[in-house]
Amino acid sequence: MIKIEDLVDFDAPFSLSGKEKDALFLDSMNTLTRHHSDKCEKYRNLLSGLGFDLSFSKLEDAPYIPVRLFKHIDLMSISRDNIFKILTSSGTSGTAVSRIFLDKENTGIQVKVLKSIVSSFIGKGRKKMLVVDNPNILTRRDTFSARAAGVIGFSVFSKGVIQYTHNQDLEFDYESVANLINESKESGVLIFGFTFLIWKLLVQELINQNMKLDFGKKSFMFHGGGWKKLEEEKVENHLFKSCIRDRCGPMDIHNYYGMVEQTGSIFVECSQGHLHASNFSEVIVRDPINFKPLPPLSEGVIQLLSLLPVSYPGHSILTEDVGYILGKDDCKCGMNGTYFHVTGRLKSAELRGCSDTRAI
Amino acid sequence: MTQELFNKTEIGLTSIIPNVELKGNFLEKIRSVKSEKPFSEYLINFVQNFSKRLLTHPSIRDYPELAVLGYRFRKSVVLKERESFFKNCDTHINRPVGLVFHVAPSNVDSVFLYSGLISFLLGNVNIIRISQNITPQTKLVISILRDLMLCDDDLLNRMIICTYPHESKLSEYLSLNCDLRMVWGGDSTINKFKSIPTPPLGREVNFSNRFSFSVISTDAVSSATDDQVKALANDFYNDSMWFGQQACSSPRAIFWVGCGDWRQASQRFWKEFKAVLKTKEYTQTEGEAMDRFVVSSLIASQNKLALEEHHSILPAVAKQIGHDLGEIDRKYHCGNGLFYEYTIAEFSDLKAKIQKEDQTISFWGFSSKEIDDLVAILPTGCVDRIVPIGKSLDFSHIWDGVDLYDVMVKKTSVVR
Repeated sequence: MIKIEDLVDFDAPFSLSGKEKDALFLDSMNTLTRHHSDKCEKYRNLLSGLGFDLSFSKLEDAPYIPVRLFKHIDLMSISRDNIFKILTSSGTSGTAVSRIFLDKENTGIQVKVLKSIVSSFIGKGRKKMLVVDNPNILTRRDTFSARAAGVIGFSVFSKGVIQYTHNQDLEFDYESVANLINESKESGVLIFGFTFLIWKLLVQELINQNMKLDFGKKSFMFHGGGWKKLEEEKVENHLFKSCIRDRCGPMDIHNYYGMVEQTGSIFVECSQGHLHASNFSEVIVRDPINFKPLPPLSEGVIQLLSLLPVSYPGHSILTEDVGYILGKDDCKCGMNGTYFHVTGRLKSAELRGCSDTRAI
Repeated sequence: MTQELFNKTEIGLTSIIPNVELKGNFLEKIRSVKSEKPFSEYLINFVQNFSKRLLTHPSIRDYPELAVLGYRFRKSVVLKERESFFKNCDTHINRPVGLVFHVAPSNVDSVFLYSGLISFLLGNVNIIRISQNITPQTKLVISILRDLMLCDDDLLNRMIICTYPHESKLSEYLSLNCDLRMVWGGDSTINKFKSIPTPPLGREVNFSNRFSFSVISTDAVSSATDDQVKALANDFYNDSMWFGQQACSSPRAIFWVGCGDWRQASQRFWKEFKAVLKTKEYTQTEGEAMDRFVVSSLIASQNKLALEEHHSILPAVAKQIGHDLGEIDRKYHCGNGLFYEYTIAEFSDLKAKIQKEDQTISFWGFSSKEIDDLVAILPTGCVDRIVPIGKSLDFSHIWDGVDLYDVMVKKTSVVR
């Protein structure tokens, strides 16, 4: 099986460019596809049923599976005895959630890759971490919710105990937050949370209370989890950032894009406001009707490739997110790799049909 | 007890028709509407006007399924139905049942009007909850209804069309106060409503998830002329694609019947079907294409499907040779142009494959005598309709074995 450590420099996660990266991905995707086809019967059936070739000479010909599949069936390339952790996606009550099966090794590599990517932005030194949420999200131990998984994933960057903006009674804990800021004047704070929660629980709270908090220039914010709810409130990235800087000080703010099906190899917003694929991941945008690959600047459905998934066949997934590629290796931020924007969700997917009313 | 939950001022409903907010005891107002006998001139007139307006609407060409609705309620058809309705009424009188609460499906835009208009013609007052996902087709019929009802308070109270979130308390309120609740649902919708009580005397009719398929004579296709195969493909297109293959009577599988070369027949058929897709300029939404990919993947993962062409090409035809129509195939199929193909030597081979949920078998290339053979093998309690291909979506007042003219009236026995 592929050893990512041998392929990629963890100290420079945005280093690979052009042919170098293409060759790495073509080779790795062939290897991973064969591996999962050998180890996972359902995946093997799927590839042959849908007419995918097991080996391919162009990256765009790599087989991909719909991300929604992880909600309907258990897909894994390890024996059940070796399951170390099961990740689940967040889902509203009643809807199915994705189940991702990890062995010990895959869990470890996810942490390592996340560390590599995030460290390239915030440096290797740890900071005190403030989570915009309440600590109750961690107490449900039976399954990992996406909110908890995000916190636990980012907790490797935390110096000491993680603090939360809200207490268990869901009230904003001004005293603790003020203390945290005081203690971290030198080093800055790492603020983490879901985009929507940061807007609701931090920005709006401070606006309503007519308050400002100065986290200082050395602080970083990482936020992810989608813009859907904020779009409904007509808040886009630019406004989001300026409101945070207005209320919390001039910190470095990074949106990240990732999903539970490919935990670890997240995409991070650069200084130019674009999401970047790292050495560990790649992005292809496809026509939403015929699934043919689209050139840069054309909007379509997003396919994500990751080198990480070994214990489950999630190395190439067709998401239900829509976006477009801006370019490759030539972003003004200086980082290599494909850079892109996510513009929203596929229209009406899952709304009609299957689970809804069907008569006549 | 439950009644108390609904403080009169709390329940409010912004209906689409009439375009007002209904508040407080609006149900009492509806109930006090002047009573009309089934098929009264007044009721028939309204339905006539609706049918006429619909059929002469400039956009009707874009929506053949609405034209079918319009034809279904033409004057001549309604008068014929009136005649048969009043036959055999020596021992009882058919009277309106009262307040009918309809829960319409989202996949077949216009179905709420079939049962709605029939109920209206029978003199009932109706509250119809339509899907929140309002399509251009629904918009069109609503605009016509609105125009026709505009200046008639009586009409406005006979047919209230509304939409509200599923979790709203309104479902409980309306259920508790109706005389008949008719749910056109997916199974999950029906189960949700089954947990909501209706009055002890209230009736409930549920139309649940169904599965439908076609049987085609291999030999008949092989020996047919090109024009005949074209006509077959066209009829099959109408049956399957008008509602994106989501109607429960839309065929989702084809059984090739006979010992001839079914592969050749199938190839000939799908070639023509693709030509129809092209001439009709059939397009899918992004969501539909994704749904089909998900379902194809799911079924393929169970080793139950091998697509003939690339998974993004419509129609997705899956040769299921050597497999039976399994639970997964049925459960997850959600339309959007995915067809399973099977082959059987004769109808008796079908017997073991038919299940309770099977609703419509549409056929092509069989004699009347052969259809008798098909009827003879049907397992007890299975299959509601056997119709020629092209007639799958024709609405009949007998639906899923339920006669709407029967269940939507109060039969009062009168012994003189």
